[in-house]
Amino acid sequence: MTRHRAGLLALAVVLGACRTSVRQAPASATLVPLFGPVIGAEVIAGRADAGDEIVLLVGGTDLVRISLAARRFERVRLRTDAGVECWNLASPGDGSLWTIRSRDTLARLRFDGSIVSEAALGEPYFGLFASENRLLFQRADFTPPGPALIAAGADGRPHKAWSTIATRTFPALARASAAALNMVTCGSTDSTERACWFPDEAAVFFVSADGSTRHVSLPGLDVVAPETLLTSDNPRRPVRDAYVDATGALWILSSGMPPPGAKEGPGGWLLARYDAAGVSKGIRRLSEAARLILRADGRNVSLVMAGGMVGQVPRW
Amino acid sequence: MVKKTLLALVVLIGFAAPRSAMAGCTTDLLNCYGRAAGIEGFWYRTAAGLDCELDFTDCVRRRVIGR
Repeated sequence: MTRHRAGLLALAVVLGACRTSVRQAPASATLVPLFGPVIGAEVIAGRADAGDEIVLLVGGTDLVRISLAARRFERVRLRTDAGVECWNLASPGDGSLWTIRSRDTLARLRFDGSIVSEAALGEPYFGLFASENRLLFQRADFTPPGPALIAAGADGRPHKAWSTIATRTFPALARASAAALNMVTCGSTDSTERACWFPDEAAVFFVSADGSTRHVSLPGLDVVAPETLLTSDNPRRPVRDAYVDATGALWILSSGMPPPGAKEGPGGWLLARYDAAGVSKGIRRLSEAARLILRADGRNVSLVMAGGMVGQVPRW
Repeated sequence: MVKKTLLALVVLIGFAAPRSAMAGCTTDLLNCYGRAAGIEGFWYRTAAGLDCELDFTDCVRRRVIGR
């Protein structure tokens, strides 16, 4: 009888061990440089898609147009006053290009860096994105909860809430810290949904052009405490960039852990693919850190590498 | 004295021990609060405090959401 019980106990221990999930080290993927460097060490403050080209706002002062098909790029300086910086880029369906200048001014740009027009918004804004034919704004809101993104009305100015993404309260944090954690980023898409995310969550909101929203958790990505995120020079972010490809697959660039001896710097070491429901379809450790997902097609994923080169890894 | 009081307040309301960036955004915020606290007039002082918070979010967003 005792041996029988001991056998059952041993079986339970073995089965329990089998059920315990052990995170496997991700397989590696070699990032092959194609051309560049297209940018330097400056921050990528915005990204917009304009036909076959991708436009980056770098350092708050320069536009970089990248053509993946032609493997060429062009850099121009924004014609703003000295010391003036811009944040975010948005290109709605009509091909126009917009940015937020000095927090509270909406500026329409030409691709040559000139300013077509400017409109004072009357209050500060953190972000600017586009969905189909409309601009999306994020107000600098220090009193959560509230709608995170506001869609432009017919006059092109912020008008009404877009999506159900709401800013969150952080009772243990100061107002300014909570506002920083509530800054939303929206990635690029080749599909009907766009992925938007908060900087501290291993999750995205899939938002359709009409604003309908799904919150999807992303397993396998490490998160850090909000305090760490706010106080580190190069914080490890679960989602550094997100891209929805034409098949609806979600590609995530995540900070991950740099390999031993690697130089600390901006960029993510993990590239992950998820289906539209958030089911992981594999995580790869990149041979070099990357800063942005430029495009994912049927064969490759193209990225801006940490050193500024455009490179690619095979799709899986 | 004002800066020390502000530092204590910020820590008390939950700014968890800043580490490497202490010489950056957070210090700038504290210094900015210190300057704002010395401004005459409630509304001007309040507006200056809000500007300090906007400057802080500008400072951290490069690291937190910049790519």
